[in-house]
Amino acid sequence: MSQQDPALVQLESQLATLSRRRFLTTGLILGTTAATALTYPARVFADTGVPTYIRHLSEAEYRLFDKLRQVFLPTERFSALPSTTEVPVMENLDNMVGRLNSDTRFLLGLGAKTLEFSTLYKMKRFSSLNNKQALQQIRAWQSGLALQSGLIVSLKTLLGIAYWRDPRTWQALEYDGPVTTKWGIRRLGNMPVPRDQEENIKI
Amino acid sequence: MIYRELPADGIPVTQASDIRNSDDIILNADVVVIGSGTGGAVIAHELAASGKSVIILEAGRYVPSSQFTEDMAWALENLYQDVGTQTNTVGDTVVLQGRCVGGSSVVSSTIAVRAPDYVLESWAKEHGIEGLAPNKINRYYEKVEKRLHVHINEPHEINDCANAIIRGCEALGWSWRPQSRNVKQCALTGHCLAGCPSDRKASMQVTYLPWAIAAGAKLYADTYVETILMKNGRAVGVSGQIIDPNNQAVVANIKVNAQIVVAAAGAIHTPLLLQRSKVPNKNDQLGRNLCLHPTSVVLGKFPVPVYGWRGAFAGMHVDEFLNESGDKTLMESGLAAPVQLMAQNELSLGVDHIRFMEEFKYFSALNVFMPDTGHGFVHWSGPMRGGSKRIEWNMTKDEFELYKKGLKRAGRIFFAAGAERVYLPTYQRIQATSVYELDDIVDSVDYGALGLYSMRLVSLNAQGSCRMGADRKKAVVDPYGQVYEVSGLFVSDASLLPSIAIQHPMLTVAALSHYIADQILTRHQGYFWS
Repeated sequence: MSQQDPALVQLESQLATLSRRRFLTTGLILGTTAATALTYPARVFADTGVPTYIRHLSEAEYRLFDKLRQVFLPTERFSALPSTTEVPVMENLDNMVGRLNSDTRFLLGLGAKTLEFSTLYKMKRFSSLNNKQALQQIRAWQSGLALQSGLIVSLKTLLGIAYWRDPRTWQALEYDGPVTTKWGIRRLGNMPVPRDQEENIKI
Repeated sequence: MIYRELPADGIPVTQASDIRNSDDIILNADVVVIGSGTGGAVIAHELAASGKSVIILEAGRYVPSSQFTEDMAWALENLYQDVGTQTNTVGDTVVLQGRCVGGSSVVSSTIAVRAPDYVLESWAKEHGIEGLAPNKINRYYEKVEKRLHVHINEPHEINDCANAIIRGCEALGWSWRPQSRNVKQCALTGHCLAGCPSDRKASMQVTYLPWAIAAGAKLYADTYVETILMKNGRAVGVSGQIIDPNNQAVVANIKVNAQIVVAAAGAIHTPLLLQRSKVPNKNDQLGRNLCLHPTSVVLGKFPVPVYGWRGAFAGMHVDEFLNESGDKTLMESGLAAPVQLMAQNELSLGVDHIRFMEEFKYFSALNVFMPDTGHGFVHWSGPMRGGSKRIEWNMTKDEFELYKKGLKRAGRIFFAAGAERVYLPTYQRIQATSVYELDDIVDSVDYGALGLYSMRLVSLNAQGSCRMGADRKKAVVDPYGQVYEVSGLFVSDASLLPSIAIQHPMLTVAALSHYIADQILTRHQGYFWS
């Protein structure tokens, strides 16, 4: 079993060598296999660490969004666009998530975890799928249940904003970005107080 | 009224950063106004200019226009409610509203159009609000139009995004009009939705708020009003907290004793405030009748670049279907920054997604507004402190069908104008490449379960949740702006509108606020003992 915990594999091996009674060995092997299966979800859920600049995303959220980043924004195939690491997409996203209100933040966390672990029947988290499998999975979600589709579109929206908000991406789109300073537009300041006599309107 | 000196630029605002100790702050005034958007700023100015002492409390932060960046993502984080993620309970409709000094007027598209006469007449006749009859409210419209520099777009203010749509309308024989906008000497930057850094948009931040302050009003930002204080059925003030917007820490508690309280926090937050304050709700109408007037954007991709974001954001609208016998679907031009596509239309993935974004300069955008029927409900859930808002709204089957009709019309306009492809704003990724397949493609969009996640919707015009009317069994507020159940408590924002205004409500709210200020000064002078 490729997903077996190395420590349990070693224990099984030792028991097989030491045991004098075959049925006990068999029983223990069965037992440890069961333990492997039972503890698998816990190990799947265990933190594997996220970059230090991530302050708001949980490990599961980070992994999900990072896989989405690779699949959703394959910028390496477009020479005019900066990469999704040159544009700090995950950092931008983390900052945006940190500013959500508590209700939205809770729903985002719940939704992200649901998607990240919804592929466990394939014995893999979403973030552990290869990019081709991940793309297929996203397409399936997008054309699946309404809530699932809505959820993945919402997550993509956040990720898309985290990338396309960066001015370095605008040149490829010929989008001008801010122009007031560039064009030297004068500020008008506050508008003069109204003079009802001048307005000549009677109410 | 003699105004004191008006600052040339910016306004004096007390903010969380100005509070030096955590002692409770207790203030006294004739009038306390909750909210500094159009409804709050106009009424604050009118009352201050008539000699009343006025305090304005704004939950959002003060971002002077000199700090506006013309970056939509920055604006969402700094100027919009819940960083632009306020949604209905299900999460399929984004409810945008400003959350800053000046409120939504700061981030509006500058569209300033009167409600049609047939709407005003129905408010006067069916809802018993004689003051809103066209011959009476028009004088207020005229006044605010003059003060806010409202004018019909001149040809140079109609950009190529709009021109493409105009071509389509004219090919189909459909009526269109240039937008009316509240802007002075527009610089045509196209960044209206992110705030105008050169102060050409006549937002409340550069008009009624500085005027109110010049007339003696005081403005507090970062100040969240938790509850309206009442005594024996009479509003006597408000209490709340001043909160540091950078870390959400409570800096101080604040209480304002006032003879009149005006709730002007908008159609989402005013009913929430009244519910938190335990305002009696005998007829169960408080928070109900909410219209979101949802919109989404249909994109037409043209064979030559359009650069649809260049020039004034709001160029024109299609008024073919807005007359009394029409279905009142409003369509108008407007394309903003690339991030707008993320929130409203984009559904592709990977290489397809990037190719779609690379088409940005070829797009014209038509925003389709669907007139909903007031079945929404906004309510406060949980305790006053620690509870949260719930915006209950889902598209009905009839509204869904009407929306599809709007999408088909938008597609027809684009194809008539020469578009080679039309992208439709649904949660399924659909696009049409010719007018012949358009209807079938739109009809393939499934209503599904309660319309959930069928269309990608954004609301800019929430209204009607504390509706005004002469029948106290059906309305929250009387025809003069006062809450039926609490004397001395007035409402001055879009929550008052008895039914959907069909057009953007900003100008109507401004006129209505003037009207209510006059009602306070003429009918309710007795509330002022000073």
